[in-house]
Amino acid sequence: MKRRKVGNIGLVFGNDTIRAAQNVDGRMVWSSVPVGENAKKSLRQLISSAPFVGRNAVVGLEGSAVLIESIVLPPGSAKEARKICTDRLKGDPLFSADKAILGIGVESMPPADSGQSPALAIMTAMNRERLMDVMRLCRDAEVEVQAVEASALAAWRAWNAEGLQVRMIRGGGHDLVLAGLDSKLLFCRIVDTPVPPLELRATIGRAASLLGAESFPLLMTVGVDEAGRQEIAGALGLEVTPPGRSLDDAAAVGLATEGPILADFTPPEERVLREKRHVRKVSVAMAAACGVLVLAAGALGTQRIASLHDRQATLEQQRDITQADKQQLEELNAELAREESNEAVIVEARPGHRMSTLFALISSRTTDAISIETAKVVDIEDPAYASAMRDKNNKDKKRAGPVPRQLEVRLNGLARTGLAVRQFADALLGTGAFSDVRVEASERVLLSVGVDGERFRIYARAETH
Amino acid sequence: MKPNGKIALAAVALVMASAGTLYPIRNSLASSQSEVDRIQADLDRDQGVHEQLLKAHARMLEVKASIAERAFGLCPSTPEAEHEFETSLLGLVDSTGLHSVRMDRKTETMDSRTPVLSLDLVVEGEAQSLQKFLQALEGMRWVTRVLGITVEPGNEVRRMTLQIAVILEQKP
Repeated sequence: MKRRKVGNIGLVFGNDTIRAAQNVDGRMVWSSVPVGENAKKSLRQLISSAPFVGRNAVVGLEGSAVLIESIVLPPGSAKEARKICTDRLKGDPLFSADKAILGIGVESMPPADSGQSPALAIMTAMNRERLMDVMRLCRDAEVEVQAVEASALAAWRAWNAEGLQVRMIRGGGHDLVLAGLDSKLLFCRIVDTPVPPLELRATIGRAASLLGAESFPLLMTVGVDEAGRQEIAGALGLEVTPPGRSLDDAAAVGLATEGPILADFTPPEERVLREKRHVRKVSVAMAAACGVLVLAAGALGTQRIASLHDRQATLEQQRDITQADKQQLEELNAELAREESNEAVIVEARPGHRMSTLFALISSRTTDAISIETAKVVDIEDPAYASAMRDKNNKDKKRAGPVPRQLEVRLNGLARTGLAVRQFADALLGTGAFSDVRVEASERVLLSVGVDGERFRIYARAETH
Repeated sequence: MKPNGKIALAAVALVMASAGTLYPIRNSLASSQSEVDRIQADLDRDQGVHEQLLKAHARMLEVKASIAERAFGLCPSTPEAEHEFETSLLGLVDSTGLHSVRMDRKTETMDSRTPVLSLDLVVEGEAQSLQKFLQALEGMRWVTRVLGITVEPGNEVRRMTLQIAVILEQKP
C-alpha cells in the first residue's frame, strides 16, 4: 500500500472566517468557512469540507488579535529586544504584557561604519484571550495543534523565491507587505485593504531602507487581479507580478508549508498536552507492536508446542513398539538359551555305553561252568571328577561338556572250578568294554553231598560318559 | 519527566509485560523439546532392537530344526508327558515278557544339573526278556539312562530291580 505524503493542515482563524489548506501528495487542498455562532461546528465543517488528511494542524491567527511591527534595534541591544518590545506595548489595551503573548524574531544586519551592527526585529503580539479561545476550540474539535503563529508571518512561506524581494498579499480585509531575503522574512507591515499607492510606496521604501537596499526590482502580489497589478505598477514604477504558482490563500498555504517559524505562540499547557498526546500515541503504537509481536510469538510458540506434542506422541508410539520388541527379544533370548541348553544336554547325555550291549556281553561270556546268582550294575558319576568339582580350592574346575561316569558291575555266582572263574574274568576283560575286572573273592565250597564248587565275587568297571 | 523518559518507561513496561506473557510459553516449549529429545535418545539407543529380534528368531528356528533332526530328544517337563512315558515304559515291560511288580517315580537332578524323571522299576522275568527290554528302552524317542540293575538270585524267572532315568527338558 502506497503511503500518502501529507503535511500539517494550515488553519487560519480570522475575524469572520476560518480557512484551511493542506499539502496532500504535492497537491494543495484548500477550504474556507464563515465563522457561525457555533465556532466548533464551523471548524468541524471546515475539516470535513475538503479531503484533509489527519488532524495535525499549524494554527495561524490574524485580524485584531495580532499585532505585528518591524522595528530596528539600536546596535548592541539585540539581547534586550524582548525588554524593548515589552516597553513599547506597555499600556496597550489588547497587547500589554498581561493580555498578550509576545513573540520576537531578531535578525542581525551587516555592520555599519561604526563597527556595531544594528538588528531588525519583527515584534508579534497575540492576544492571550483570543489565543486561549482558539486553543479550546481546537481541543473541542479534536484538532492536534503542532504550532501557533501569526498567519501574516507564515504567509512568507507560501512560496519560495531567491534574493531580495518584497511581496504584497491581499486577503481577509488586509494587505500584507512582506520583505525579506531568500527564505528569511525581515519586514512585515499590515495595512487595511486597499492600501493607498502612496502609503504602499512609502512602506516599500522603508522596507528597502531597513534591508539596506535602494529599491526592489519587482513586487510580487497575491490576491490582486491583473488590472490592480497594472495600477500598482503604474503608481510605484515597479514591475508587479504574481508568484509562479497560483495561490488561493497565501496565509493558509504558508501555515501548511514546512519551514522555520519566526515566533511560536503555542501555550505551555498546549505543549504539555501535545507531549502527552505524543507519549500516548507512541505508547499506543509500541503497545500495539508489542501486542502483535506477543500474539505472533505466542501463536508460533503454541503452534511449535502443538507440533512437539504431536511428535512426542509419534515417538512414544515408536518407543512402545520398541519396548515390546525389547521384551519379546528378552523372552526369545531366554527361550533360545533354554533350547540351546536342551540341545547341549541331548548331545552330552547320549550314552557312551549301551546297557543292553553290556548286559549282552556279560551273558555271552557266561559258560556252562559259570552260574551267576546275583548281578548288580550301577551307573555313577566318576568319583574323581565329582571330588574335583566339590574341591573349593580348585579354581580350574569347569562345568562344561559331558560329565564322566563309571559303570560298576558286581557279579556273584558259582563255578565248577577256580579256573573257570579266572577264564570268565579274562573273557570279560577281553571284550574291551571294561577297564578293570577283578576277582574279589573265590573259595571252594561244598554244594551238596559229594558235590563241591567255587563260589566267586567279581568286580568290573567300565568308563563312559 | 521528559516525554522520551516516559516513552522509555512505557517501552520497558511493555517489554516486561511481553516477557512475562511469553515466559510460560518459552518454559512449556523447552519442556516439550526436552521430552522429545529424551524419547528420541531412547529410540536412538534401542535402534538395533528389531534387527536383533529378527536374528534371534532366525536362530531359534535353526536350533529348533536342529533339535527336531536329532534321533533322540528330551522328554517335556510336563505331567502329561511324564505320565505318557510311564505308560510307554509299562507297555515295554509287558511286550518284552517281563512282569511288573512295582514302580516308584521321583524327579531329581542328575550330575547336579540335569533334571530327570527317575523310575525304580521292579520286574520279574528271564534274562532274555530283560535283554529285550533294555534294547527296546534304548530305542525310545527320549534320552534315557539305566542307572542301576540288580538281579536277585533265582532259577529261570528272577526278580530284577532297574533304576531308569529319563532326561527332562529344562523348565522356563
